[in-house]
Amino acid sequence: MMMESEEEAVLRVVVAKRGKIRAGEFRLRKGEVGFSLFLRTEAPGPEAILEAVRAAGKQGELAIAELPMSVLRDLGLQIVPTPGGTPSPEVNAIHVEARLGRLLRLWLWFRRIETATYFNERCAPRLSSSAIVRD
Amino acid sequence: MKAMISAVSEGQRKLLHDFFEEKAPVLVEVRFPRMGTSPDWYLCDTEADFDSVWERLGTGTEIHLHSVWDMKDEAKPAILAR
Repeated sequence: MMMESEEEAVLRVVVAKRGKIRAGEFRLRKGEVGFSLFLRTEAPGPEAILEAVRAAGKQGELAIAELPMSVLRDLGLQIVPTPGGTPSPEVNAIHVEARLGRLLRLWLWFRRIETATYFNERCAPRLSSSAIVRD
Repeated sequence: MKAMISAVSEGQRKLLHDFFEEKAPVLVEVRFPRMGTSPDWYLCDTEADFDSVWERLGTGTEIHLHSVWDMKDEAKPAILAR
């Protein structure tokens, strides 16, 4: 899938072997409310994000995956700015979380469905198939 | 067994030692909270294996230790924070 360069996107650091993203890169953990991402900005750019995550000790063939904002909107995900946890304050400033909308969370709560369960079944496959690894 | 510790101090070393003594091999999950990425996984047979993982980690990471003999969801892992 090609993405126009002007299209809004968010970024995720992934392990990619020969351009293929490892399974499980887009899963939410039990207890987590939002999916950790970075805004796409010129400064800090993708290299700075990769460097910050490597500095935290992340191993492997790391790459930046772009997720079109339109896909997140289709999935009912809202982007919420939250402080990042990397060693770089600049990178932490562009950290965001993709969260399910309030009504959807309420609906899940009434049905006793875990946010992570819903996210991993409904959102993760679409995010995975829409992600584009940056060269 | 559950603990939250920020560095491998003497007491924490005992916790690790006991965990490895009783439950090795240990599946080590390194989480990177709010860092826009997924966890790394390591299979450690010994404390020395664990130390080589620990030494590479920066602050803010979270380490969850699971015995490979006890992988049920209900089993509580030992948790360390770097």
